[in-house]
Amino acid sequence: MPVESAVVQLLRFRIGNDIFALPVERVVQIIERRPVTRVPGVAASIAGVFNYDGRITPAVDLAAKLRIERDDNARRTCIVIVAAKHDAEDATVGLLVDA
Amino acid sequence: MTIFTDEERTLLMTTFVDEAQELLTSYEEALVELERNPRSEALINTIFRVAHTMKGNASTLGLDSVIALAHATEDLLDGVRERRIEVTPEVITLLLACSDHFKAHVQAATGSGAIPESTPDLVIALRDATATGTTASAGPAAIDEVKSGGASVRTSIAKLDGMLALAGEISIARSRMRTLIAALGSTDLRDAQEQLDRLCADLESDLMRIRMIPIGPVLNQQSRVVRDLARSSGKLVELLCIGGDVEADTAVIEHLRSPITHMVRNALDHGIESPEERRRRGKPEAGTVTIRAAHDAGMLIVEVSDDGAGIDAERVLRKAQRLGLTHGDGLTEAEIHRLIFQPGFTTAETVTELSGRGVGMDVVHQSIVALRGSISIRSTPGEGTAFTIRAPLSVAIIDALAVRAGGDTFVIPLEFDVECMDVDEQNLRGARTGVVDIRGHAMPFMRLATCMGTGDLKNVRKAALIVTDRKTEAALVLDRLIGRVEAVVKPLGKLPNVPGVGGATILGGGDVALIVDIPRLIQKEICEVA
Repeated sequence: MPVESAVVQLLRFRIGNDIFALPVERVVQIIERRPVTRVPGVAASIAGVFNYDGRITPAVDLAAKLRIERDDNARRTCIVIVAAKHDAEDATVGLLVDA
Repeated sequence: MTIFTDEERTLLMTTFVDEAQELLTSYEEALVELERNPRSEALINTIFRVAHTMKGNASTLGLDSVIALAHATEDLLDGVRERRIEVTPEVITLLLACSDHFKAHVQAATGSGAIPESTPDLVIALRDATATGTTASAGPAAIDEVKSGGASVRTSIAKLDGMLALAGEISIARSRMRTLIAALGSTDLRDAQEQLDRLCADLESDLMRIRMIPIGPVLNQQSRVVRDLARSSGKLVELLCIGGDVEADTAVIEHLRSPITHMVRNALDHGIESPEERRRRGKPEAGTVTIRAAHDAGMLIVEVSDDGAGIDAERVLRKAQRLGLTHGDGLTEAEIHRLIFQPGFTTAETVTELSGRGVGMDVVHQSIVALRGSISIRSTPGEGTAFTIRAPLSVAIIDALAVRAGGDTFVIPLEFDVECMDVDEQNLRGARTGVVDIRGHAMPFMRLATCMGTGDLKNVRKAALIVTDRKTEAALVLDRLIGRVEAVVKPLGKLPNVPGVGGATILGGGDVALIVDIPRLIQKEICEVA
């Protein structure tokens, strides 16, 4: 992480009434909301898995993960695909966000 | 000695023929190279290994003349290896003649071409050469040219993954187009769409097949392990590899590499006795370790067996008690055998180079479980031990049923299904599992939707799919069947291993459906509760 440089390009998104931001270099793609298949026995913040480019990709429900109260009827319109490191392996996850 | 059924024999024969063609190619290449580089031990070993594997494979199939030929070839090569026999052009010629004869025999085994009559002469020539270090000329073999297996390309797995990803995107685009075409109501367009669907399905399954590689190299690699260990321990061991052409996804094969190596080491270290001990017990001085790969009901089976001492159940139990891994009395023999999979377990009195460090079989066990596979032990004191691994072909395509339960779609591998019938909700007492009357017999049932963490729907008519893990039959209660699908099995990635879920697949429309792991679901919902 650069210490001095203060200018970072961010992607802004909304969950409930809160605005969050992610460094853009983390973001792989933003896709339309698509069906997420529930998986039993996983953490509540994992909404399930979905098909991203033919790969089974976990979907993280950021609202549940960050314990944000939100209206369940609000439509989460898109999925932000981010690249993350997990156990020294590259992993791709989708974040469910509202807008 | 194993007795094979006709079907197994045909399978073995096919495997033998395919493997032989590949082996003989490397045999010849190495021979030619050896002529230029007569001191190369690696080359001599390669050649020796081919002859040895040919002998092993042929003896499984009882092809006596091939065994005799391979045996004579081995003897000559032993001489070469021990530098008793010089690598002269005559020796090379003789060994190449062997290759021609092998090919002719392989051809004959497939039913095309006759067995060359001069093989016994060649065997005699080989024996003479072995005895005297010089070679007489042997009769040329009458053979047809063996057709080569066709050109091949090497490519990276990443590229294949990329193609698969594209295929997935195409399938989503297709389903969108299908909706649009349906709205237009044109029959011509729909026909064209259906044709496109079929072609794309073929393309996808071809793509999956490209990822399948034969297990042969991993099996043959063990011969080096066996030779090295046998030499350092003073034991005499022969390695037999059967089914090298059995294919599985490249990732599965890669995962099995080190467990197989470990089991082979284990067999040499703990199974096979010293030559003196074996003689005392009236066994042949040389022990045999057999690795056998096969396909069974959509699973990859790898069996590593030895004709050694077998597992000493009493010793295992004492050791496990001393280590505090069990205090149990009244364990069955099978339960005692499974104790060796406990972390930290080892019976070796002294720590040897490779096994006996207590990080042995439990690591094997864990890596097999991580593959969503299983491992079982069969052991008879004094006669030997066999470890059998069952692993999914992983990214393979399975025949399955798509079903609806609790508002979700699930995919159930066809191999576990027995039959399907309607049941009334009022006959199902139990929110998750229970017992239902199926044609006058009490059968355990489990509600798929509840087991998968969603609530079951309150409809009156339910469907019951009778499933089995080959020991227990159970009725899987669901809402309705959708139909047969060819499902491409994909791992759930980084998510934790969920019992009862055997991966996921992408349906025609692009949605993801979970694949139900029937044996583990039965185990978890019925056997462990009972």
